[in-house]
Amino acid sequence: MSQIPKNDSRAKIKAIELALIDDIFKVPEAELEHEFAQDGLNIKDLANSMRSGAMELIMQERRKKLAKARAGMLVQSISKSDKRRPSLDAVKRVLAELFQAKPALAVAFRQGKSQSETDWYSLWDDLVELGEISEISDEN
Amino acid sequence: MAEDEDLTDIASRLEHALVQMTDANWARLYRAAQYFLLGGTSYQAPQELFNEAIQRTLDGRRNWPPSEPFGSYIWMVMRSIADADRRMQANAIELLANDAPSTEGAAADTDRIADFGWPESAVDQVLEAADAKRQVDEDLKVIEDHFKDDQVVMLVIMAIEDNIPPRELESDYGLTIKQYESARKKLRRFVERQFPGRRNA
Repeated sequence: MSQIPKNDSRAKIKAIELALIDDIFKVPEAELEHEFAQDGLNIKDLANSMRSGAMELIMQERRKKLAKARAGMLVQSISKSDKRRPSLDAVKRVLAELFQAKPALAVAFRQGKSQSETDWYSLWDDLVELGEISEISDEN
Repeated sequence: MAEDEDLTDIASRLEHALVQMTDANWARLYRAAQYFLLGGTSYQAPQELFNEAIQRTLDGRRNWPPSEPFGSYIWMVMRSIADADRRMQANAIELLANDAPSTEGAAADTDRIADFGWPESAVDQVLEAADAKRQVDEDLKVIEDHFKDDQVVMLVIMAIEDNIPPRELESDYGLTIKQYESARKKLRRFVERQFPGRRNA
């Protein structure tokens, strides 16, 4: 048997709290309903309110996770496309080598003359996607 | 939800558990949350404490072991949150376990916090502030004052505090089991009515 010091109100409150918990789990359902009604509470309404409140939290958490996952995918795709693009000079050099090896590609690109920077990068992206060029950096 | 549906993610497990709860389960959980607010916390209503327990489970601050039934898990989390909240409110100064007291020179700790910093003190990490203690004292006084003329309930409260089993009350004080159970019910119903939870801590 353990005794709580006389001046330890917190321990006393906690002991009462635990005793009440113990008791509430022994109260039969019909009696519970009766007691709640005595206190002006409807068990069904209360259950619905607690359940829907918790469900709403679950939905919020799912929405948050979804938004986070989407943001993560966006960042990943942006950083991936940035990473596989070397400098414009390197792009031109690699493409020139490729055009020499595969002239048909050069025709499709109008022999690489008077192309804008966007055209070069656009072609680069297409060729990387087609597997004609593997990802390289400026160091390559 | 189909039995073979994947319940590994916490939101799905919670969702599954919530729809399984009967009205009586909810009622008991509500009462449990209500009792946990005794002594003053920053939660104003039982449902608020319950929602906090759900939120902490969802965001991973609390781990719900797969083998643990939802009912027993969630009331333990509510209890733990309420306890921590009471301690937080009682904090005049919070000390972490590794904040060992200084023992040298003019800076030496000579006040009540001197024992902090030892592993056995880590659970508390706090000093009581007068306000928070007052709230606990007040709630206890409300209960004791209400039953001051009811010797049976007072005896039962003493038994609860001192962990005296009912059979001992029967042999030492002649309190029958029926009287004991009736007194426990009186105490429970008083607390439920007197402390509905909606109050300022």
